[in-house]
Amino acid sequence: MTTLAHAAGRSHELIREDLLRPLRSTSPLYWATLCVCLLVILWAGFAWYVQLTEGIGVAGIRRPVYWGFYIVNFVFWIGISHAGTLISAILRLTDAGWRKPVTRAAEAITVFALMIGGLFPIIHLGRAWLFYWLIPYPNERLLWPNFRSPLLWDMTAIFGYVTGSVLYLYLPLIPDLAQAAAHTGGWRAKLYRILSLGWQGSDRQWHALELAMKSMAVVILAVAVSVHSVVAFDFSMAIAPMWHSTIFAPYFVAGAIFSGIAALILAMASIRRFLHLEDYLRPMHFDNLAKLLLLMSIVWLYFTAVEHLTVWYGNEHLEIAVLNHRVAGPHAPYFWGMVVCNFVIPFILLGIRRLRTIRTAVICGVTVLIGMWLERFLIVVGTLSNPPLPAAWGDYAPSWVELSITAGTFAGMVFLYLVFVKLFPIIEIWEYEREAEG
Amino acid sequence: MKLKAKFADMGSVEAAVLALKSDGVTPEQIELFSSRPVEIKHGVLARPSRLSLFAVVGAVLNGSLATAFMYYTQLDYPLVTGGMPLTSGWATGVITFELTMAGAVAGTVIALLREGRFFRQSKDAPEQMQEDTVYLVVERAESAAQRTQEIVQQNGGRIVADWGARP
Repeated sequence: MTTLAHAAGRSHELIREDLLRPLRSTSPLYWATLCVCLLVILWAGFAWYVQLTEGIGVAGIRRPVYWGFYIVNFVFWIGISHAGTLISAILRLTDAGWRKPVTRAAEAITVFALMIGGLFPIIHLGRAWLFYWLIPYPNERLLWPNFRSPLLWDMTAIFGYVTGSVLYLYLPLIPDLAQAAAHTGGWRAKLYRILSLGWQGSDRQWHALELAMKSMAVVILAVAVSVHSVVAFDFSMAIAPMWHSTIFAPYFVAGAIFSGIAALILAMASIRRFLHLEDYLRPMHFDNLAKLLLLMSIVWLYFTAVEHLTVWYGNEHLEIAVLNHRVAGPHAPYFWGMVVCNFVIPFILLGIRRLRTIRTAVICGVTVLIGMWLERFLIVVGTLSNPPLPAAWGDYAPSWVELSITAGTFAGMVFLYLVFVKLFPIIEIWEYEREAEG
Repeated sequence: MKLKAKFADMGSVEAAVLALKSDGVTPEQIELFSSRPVEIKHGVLARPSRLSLFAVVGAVLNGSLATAFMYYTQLDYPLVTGGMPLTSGWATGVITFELTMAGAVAGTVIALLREGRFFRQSKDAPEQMQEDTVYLVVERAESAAQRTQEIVQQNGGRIVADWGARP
């Protein structure tokens, strides 16, 4: 084993030392970023406090646009959550060898994005303290759950996905936690020992873990697809122009995978640079993810073209009003900006092999995230701006409260991720060691 | 008695396990420990797993409970549905599906904890595992101790009296 490990370029001790290093020491830049994120989160918390005390009226949502930034962010973050579990599950089931340094970084995105995304329906409620009314239980106040409501579908789906994703992140972490417990001291060692559930490294445990991860991958794949389908149902089950569409569920799932890959590329590039893990997250990993991003960009363009062509050809006046608003009306800059961000830039930068580098993959990751956020905005706000009666048409502008809370969620994502990489090895040590052997 | 041995590579472990099995040792009497996945060839140390069964049972159980709960609540307090069926399979199917999958996840985790013996820890597990070492424990009758020792040594194992097991 030693010979093989050394032949792969790194000894096991070196691998472990490298991957546990961020747990012991981090740069001043790490702490500075953490503090900035915390400040933005506190500001967002203040904005939410203002909304809770003053009422939902401080947000920019007004008739006819009663779903604004909060629902846009909800759909966006649930989409981002597909980065991890779904991509990791596909790579695990296809036994893609290059997945090993990628999976945990991806699975962590899923858990944090779901936590953030799941907050938005509660923020959108206005009276957030009544969130438990969403929980389906028979009660004394005759608020019996209506299982036909897509809102209840959402809650059930997201709850299942969060539970599954946390476990999917946690299970392969157990052997690494046992290693970390043996190589750290103080409170960390105690924490890791508790979390490793007394892992002993017996063949029974390894065998059961491998089987469990395969089984979980199959289940989580189905759940991930269903979750974003259910989010799409929030729109497509309504008889509203450009929402009531049979392709909305696959369109949303494809978009979610697309934005998820973009987020993963950004996370990996940051980890590589700031934690100095260049030897582990190699150009090959970015190249493979960039190819996936390019593929999803083409799939996204196909879905977008089909959706818009069908509406245009049908020439149904309510739908045409929304289409015109989106393509040639007030939302046209957002629409064409979305096309440039989601297709034109990735197609040029990633389609030409010579241009496909880590830097261009990161650029495309940023543009795709902007483009996908714009897509969610266009879907949510576009239809609501154009209700059937033209006299009721109106537009939407977010207030400082919505903008602050939105900024807070992005800072929250970075904050949670930074805390995670400080507490847990972001690359699977045992998987990487196995790759080094193989 | 329990015999403990260290191996430097997985190939030797496989050979030792096969030799032990041909000498009448069952997989239940053998235990391996390693800091890295024990990737032993299929069939060498067969450990039957019921993990898939647990996942399916968890899925069926939770899915059935979810469906029963939905039907109970809807029939017990009938909502005004505007002529639509009170207990519609289409409308409740989504929740049934999600909770079925949640049941499969729960079943998988329970099976992992059970089959990995997380709550029945082995007293022979080394406290500190060395890199590039696979630890083997064989439980045999006192009369077969000498023969077992020879088999292990012939296949590259180094017999160890005590490797500092966990207290």
